[in-house]
Amino acid sequence: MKAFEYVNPTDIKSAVNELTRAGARGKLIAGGIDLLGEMKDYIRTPDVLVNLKSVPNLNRLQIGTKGLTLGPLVTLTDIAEHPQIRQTYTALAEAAESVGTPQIRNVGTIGGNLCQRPRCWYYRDEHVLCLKKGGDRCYAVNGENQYHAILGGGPSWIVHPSDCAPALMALNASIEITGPKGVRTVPLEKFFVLPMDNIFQENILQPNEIITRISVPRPPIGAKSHYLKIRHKESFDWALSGAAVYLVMRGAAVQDARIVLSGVAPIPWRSREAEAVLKGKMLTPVLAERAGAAAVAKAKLPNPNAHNAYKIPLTRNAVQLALLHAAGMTA
Amino acid sequence: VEVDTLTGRVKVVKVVALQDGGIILNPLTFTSQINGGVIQGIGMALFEDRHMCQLTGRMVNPNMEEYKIPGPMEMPEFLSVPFEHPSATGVTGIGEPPVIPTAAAIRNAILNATGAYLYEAPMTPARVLAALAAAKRRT
Repeated sequence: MKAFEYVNPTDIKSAVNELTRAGARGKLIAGGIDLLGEMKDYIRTPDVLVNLKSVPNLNRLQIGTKGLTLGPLVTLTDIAEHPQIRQTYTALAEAAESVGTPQIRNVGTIGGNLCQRPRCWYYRDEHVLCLKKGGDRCYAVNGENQYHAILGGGPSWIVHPSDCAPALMALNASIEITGPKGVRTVPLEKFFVLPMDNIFQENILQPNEIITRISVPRPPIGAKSHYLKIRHKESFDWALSGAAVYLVMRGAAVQDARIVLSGVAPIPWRSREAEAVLKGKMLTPVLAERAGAAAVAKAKLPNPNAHNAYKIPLTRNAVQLALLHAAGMTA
Repeated sequence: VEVDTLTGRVKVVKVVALQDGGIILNPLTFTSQINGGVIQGIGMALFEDRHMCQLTGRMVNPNMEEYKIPGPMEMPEFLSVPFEHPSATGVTGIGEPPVIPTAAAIRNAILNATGAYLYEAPMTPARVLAALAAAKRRT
């Protein structure tokens, strides 16, 4: 790993200042789970690391009548093991619990989880200069693309690695971002950007901006949520496909629904097509299956013979299973 | 095994491994060797794969993150049975011979459970889903 300067600011303002001073040579570090991996592999070689953990009170978790607020340093274990989150914000607890290993969840933070870089094996290979690293091609188009995007892909075909982001998006979360010009709040849905809009980053954060709070409104009575993560193996694996679903039910009828897919697109992928199938209807296994089919109706592969075609039926089934699970039904 | 026909995931539930190891001097070592072999067999059957990129000529998964091996959650119930037949005269060796039949046994168990024929290892969710779809077309 390349040597770096380590800065310990004691408040947000000086953290922003340190990041501004360092410019492109600087990086914010919290749990460091993702960043240190990149640094060890020489994917990124910052000269300055600004340690967010030295800023107090950023690991606060509060549940009130209006909803849930999380400081960016709340760990995934804190979320996964919180009984009230599990009860009211179920999909979020399930998503946090599905991440990595116990050791990773003890150190990894919710802010870091939202800001993860892609796990694409071309991106993570020091010796491959891909589109996301300033190269001229995405090797996944014609290469080993079994884990790549089926929705929103091109010109890069990465998938977004976060499990918590789809769950938070399904729960209609928003995030507070602090930068040199002050504080702004954006819906989480507007936080992520597709490679066709910006090839070099997966979200709107500027190098000197920091996520300072994540807010989730309290779901109404009758709301249910669930995060289903389908992975090759259960002990430490990324999603092959997944679905975070949020349902507001009136009896057996779906009053409101939000469905966000993981592991299939360069950003957490909200499927309005699947939501439209559900709204106002009685939830049945047949309807859940139709919602799943709608979610993948616009699927587009990196090439016609791509190795990730299996993700289409897998995602269709993930949506179906997640919906039925959330509603307490079986397929 | 248990096969999830909607996700293609295979869970090995129980492995019974019968092994002729001569006269067993140390039962604990015997069990450990057999279990180790079974675990490697599960890896061969379901997980381990070396992905070579035709474009770069490089292996794309040269790490313990993407080269998948079974972890604690993938462990089945183990039952190792020493086959000490009466005419055994001596002590023979045991390596991890259950590596050899385990993958085939899992493949046949999937076939028995679902009617899906698999001809390639590892039997990933992608391959299991494809085999299940083929089995459905055939009937």
